[in-house]
Amino acid sequence: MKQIPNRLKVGVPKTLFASYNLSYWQRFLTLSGMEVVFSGESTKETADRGGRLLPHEFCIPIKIFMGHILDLLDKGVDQILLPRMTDRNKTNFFCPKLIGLPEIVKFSLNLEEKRFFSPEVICNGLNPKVVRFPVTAAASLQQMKRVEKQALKYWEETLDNCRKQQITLPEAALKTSLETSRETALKISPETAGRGKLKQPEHHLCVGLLGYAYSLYDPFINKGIQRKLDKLKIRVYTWEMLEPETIETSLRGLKRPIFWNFGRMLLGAGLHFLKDPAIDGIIYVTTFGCGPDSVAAEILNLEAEKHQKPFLLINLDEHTEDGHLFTRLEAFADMLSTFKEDNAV
Amino acid sequence: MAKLFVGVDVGSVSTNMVVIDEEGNPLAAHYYRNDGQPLQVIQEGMAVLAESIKPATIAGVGTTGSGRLLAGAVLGADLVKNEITAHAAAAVHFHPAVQTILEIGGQDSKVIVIRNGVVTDFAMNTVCAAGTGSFLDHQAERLKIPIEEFGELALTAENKVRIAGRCTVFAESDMIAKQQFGFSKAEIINGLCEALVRNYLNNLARDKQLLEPIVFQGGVAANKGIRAAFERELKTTIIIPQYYHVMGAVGAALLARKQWIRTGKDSQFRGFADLNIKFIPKTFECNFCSNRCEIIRVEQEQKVIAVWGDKCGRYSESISA
Repeated sequence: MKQIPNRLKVGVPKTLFASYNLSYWQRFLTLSGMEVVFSGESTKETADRGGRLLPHEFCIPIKIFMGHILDLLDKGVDQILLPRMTDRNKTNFFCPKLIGLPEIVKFSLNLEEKRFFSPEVICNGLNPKVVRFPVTAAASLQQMKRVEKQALKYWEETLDNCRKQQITLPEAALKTSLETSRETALKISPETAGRGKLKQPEHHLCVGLLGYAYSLYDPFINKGIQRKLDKLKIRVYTWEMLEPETIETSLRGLKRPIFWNFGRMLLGAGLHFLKDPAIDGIIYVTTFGCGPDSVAAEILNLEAEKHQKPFLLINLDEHTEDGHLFTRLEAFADMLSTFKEDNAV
Repeated sequence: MAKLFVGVDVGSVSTNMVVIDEEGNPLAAHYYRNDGQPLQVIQEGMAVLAESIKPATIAGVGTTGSGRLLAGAVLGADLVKNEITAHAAAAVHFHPAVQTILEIGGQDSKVIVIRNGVVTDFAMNTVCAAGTGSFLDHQAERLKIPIEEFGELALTAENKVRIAGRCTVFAESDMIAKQQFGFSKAEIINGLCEALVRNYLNNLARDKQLLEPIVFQGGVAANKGIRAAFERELKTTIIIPQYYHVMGAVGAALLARKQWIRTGKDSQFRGFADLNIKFIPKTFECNFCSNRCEIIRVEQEQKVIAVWGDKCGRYSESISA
């Protein structure tokens, strides 16, 4: 193999936008000739270190994100991937904190802009698209344009896997990366991928699990919720297992459009789950103080009442104790069981 | 020999124990303050319980409450259940028509919606313990009034005082201000009861339909001032069940009974005699992955009898097998 001298080391924080399009970014950067460095798993330290840099009222995912940035800087990366998530579509926006990520990082760490690798990105539903490439010595514009197409194709394959095999995004990302090459294989722990050590437990309940990828697939934020659900013999269905058309069709029934990109998908998936007789109930995982969720989750809660489908809102924050979470999930599972058949013990 | 079922509810403030017979009637009920020593309270309480009942077969043991895992391990429980399901089971047993359960305990409060004898919705306080038993305890202490007299005193209030109920810290500063305006203790306590009820209804019961009959249980149900405030707010009478203070334990016992009826399995209960053996809980931080879980391990004579706290199941799944 040809050795490329001094490849540009680009750090990818494994949270927020990258929890969605991890495989896309990895492909894009690698094929552009850059060396990709991932941040480690979220820990207490990640949250503490990140939190210290931010105003108190920031939500826990952003605090954790800052911790990931610090981790990448510790790893000695040349640049950090910080896409500028813009909205060229008038009915589709991101949360202001996602839009402002480059600024949040720049001003809280006093970093020079040359440390950022910031392509301008739009995201229509699930597919990211770079609309402006940064100028870099590592790759030419033509090259980046070409590999971006390949990365997108690869990402679509990953999503396709989610739908076809009814698996979660990290599970699919792991699978797709293993099928291609070892060099670009993603290191995803089974914990992150969602399934624990329990091998195919006999699920007797089906639940629609909703939440942003950065909470749903970060066991530090969600206190291992998928594993807990596994223990309760609950099979989980998530938004990425649905066809985009299914989500769009469900959203059409709303009186007013909802315009947050990721929140929209959750709501659309939730509305579909409400109508799906195979789904026994819905669990919506949110983090304390989330603005878009205060609307999306509330709409879904009201709709759930109309459909008489059990709905549980799990509001996560910085607490480390997870007993309360299990109490709620078990009570919810008991409730669904009694609904289904009178076998709740 | 008669078959009996034991229910133990280890909460943040109290540990409650009950014994029910095969028909589900309570034969004994005990309420103990934990004083930070739940393990000791369980052992001593079980000894008292053993004396208070006639010789019988313990056919099932159920535990609930935030300390249910510890209690379950120590007793050899047949069923370890969350407190929401337990409270609902007990309320429905005594009041089959119940549609709403208000429950306020030491450190958490919940509302449970029941339709046709089945839980259809519930909510539990999330980020803050304002408006729970501990909060009232603290305020009673500050005003130098025994908590047992707190509710009675509230009923004697002549004037209304409005106290901020959203947050404990705000409530306290509000209380101090109102004291300085010259309001009596009774009026301030009544204001506090109303604030607590307002807070409860606004936060927990916000989007729930609270249909009658409404049952109010948990330690705080002993407080007449709170009950009166609930009745004023909801404009209806509230039922306080006879065993309001130990309903979680009753529920755990009832669920253990239900399980026994269904499976007919013998109880794993250690027996009253074996409970005096020393149980040693230990904690350590697992360094295997970045989660750094705090693992809690209970040992009995060098033998590990229970482990929990691990997110990945590395320890807990190796023991339960």
